Amino acid sequence: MNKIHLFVIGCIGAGLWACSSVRKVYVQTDKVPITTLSAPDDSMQAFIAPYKQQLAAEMDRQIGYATDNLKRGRPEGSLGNFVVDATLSFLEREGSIPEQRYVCIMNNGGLRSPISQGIITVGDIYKLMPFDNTVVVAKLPKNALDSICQYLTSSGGEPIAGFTMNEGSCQVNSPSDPDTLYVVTSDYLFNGGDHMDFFGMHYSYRNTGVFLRDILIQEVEERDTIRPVIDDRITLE
Amino acid sequence: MMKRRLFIQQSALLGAGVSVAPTLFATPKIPDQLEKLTILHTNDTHSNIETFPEDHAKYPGQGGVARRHTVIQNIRSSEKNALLLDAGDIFQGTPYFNKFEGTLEMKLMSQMGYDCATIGNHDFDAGLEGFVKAYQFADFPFVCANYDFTNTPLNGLTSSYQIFQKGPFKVGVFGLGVGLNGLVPSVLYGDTVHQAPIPIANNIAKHLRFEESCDLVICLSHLGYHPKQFDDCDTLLAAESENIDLIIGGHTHTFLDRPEVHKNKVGEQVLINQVGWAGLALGRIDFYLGEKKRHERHKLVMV
Repeated sequence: MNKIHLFVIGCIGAGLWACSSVRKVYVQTDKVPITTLSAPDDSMQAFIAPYKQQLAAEMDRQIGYATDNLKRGRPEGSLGNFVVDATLSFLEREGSIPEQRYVCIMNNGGLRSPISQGIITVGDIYKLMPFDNTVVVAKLPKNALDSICQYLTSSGGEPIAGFTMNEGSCQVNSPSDPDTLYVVTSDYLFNGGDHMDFFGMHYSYRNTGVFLRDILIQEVEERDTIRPVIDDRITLE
Repeated sequence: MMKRRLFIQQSALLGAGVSVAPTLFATPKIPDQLEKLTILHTNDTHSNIETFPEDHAKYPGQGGVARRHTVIQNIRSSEKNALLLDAGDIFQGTPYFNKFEGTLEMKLMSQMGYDCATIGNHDFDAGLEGFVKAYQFADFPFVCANYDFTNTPLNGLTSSYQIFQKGPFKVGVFGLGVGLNGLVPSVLYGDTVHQAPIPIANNIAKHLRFEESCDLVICLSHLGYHPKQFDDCDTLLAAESENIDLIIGGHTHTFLDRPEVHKNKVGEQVLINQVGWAGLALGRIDFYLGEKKRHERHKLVMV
């Protein structure tokens, strides 16, 4: 019964459509996953091989020397201190930010591998920072510092530069503006990563588009010798 | 319970039948005599040259251009009317880009036989000069309808659209790019002017369908799929345009299992598809086109 109804309506419908000059286009779709079930094309594999080798050589390129191990740590670690200090000094040297005005906050979780004492290669920096995180420069209200301070207290510490946290209370190193806190961070954290919600208070921001990883590579090349720094920039209550 | 569900399904079908179209009811059969046009597509491949390692947390043993090449060759050996397209963000994501500045991606896409691509926001990452340098190694055209490159090194290197003759079919392909401000550092895109995509899309699609008499009009869009995150996106483009048959999207790395059927401004159907990122999959859509009619409207029948 129903089927007949459907058929009749179908026929009327088809008739109407035909009048208005409709071209039927039948569509069949498929999504073809690329997996190990498809053997790699030999000639393309051979074409890629020398690039792969060159890349391996690039990863092995020596860019500096670490006098000691740089490690993650809380409330502060030499690895985190290196990353935030390098970021600020790179941006200052490049003229992207005025000197001494900015503070920097990154996250311990984003530092994926320590740097061992000895030669530092490009590959070491890729291991430390495999993500394509870019650097963001933001303006926040001054009281954002209180929120940052609370965050550091509850997390037990993250890599910071340009301000100190002394027994749970925070102070910028060089007061530059009574109303504004100038902050450098990664796009990941700025966009809500690791629940650093205080970035939601921003007045304005700029994504520099520069990879944090590239900054670190260039900074190691610039400094040549990296000495681990622990300077009690964070002490918890 | 079963009966009730059946009743609901049938009512829904009847309702749809009155308002939409007759062909939704039965599984439609493709008439034998129709010729086939095969569209293959990728987006956001992001310099992923190699297959992800077997111990990769998310995509073990997936992707890789040499494997993609095999898949494409297999399809091409049985389909004579095939077009291979990319919706942008070819660059950035692995050290291959940092080291070879996009040249390898262009060489490999040329070897795979890409017919056309559009420029994504990350394709500015080597700068405009960098793109031009890498583009020397490509033998396929880029379509960008809403980037004005007049005062840049890319002037004359891209076009708004391309028309491909595949067997009996004329296929119009045009490209749309995402707004660059705040997304790409201005030093990289220089004097590129981004224009509102949807009015431009409508002009070009109309031109392609009626003046150029294209059998199929395809938009390579790097606007992104999401309705909220971006001002102009593929779903909005679908709803506010006409004369486009297929939107191949990118930018948002959206994994769609199959193309979505949307309604355009005048109630015609338009497909949106996007296949994630990193070359994890190749999208494939086969179109069987019926007899050509003057000033026709297209009625898509999903098989």
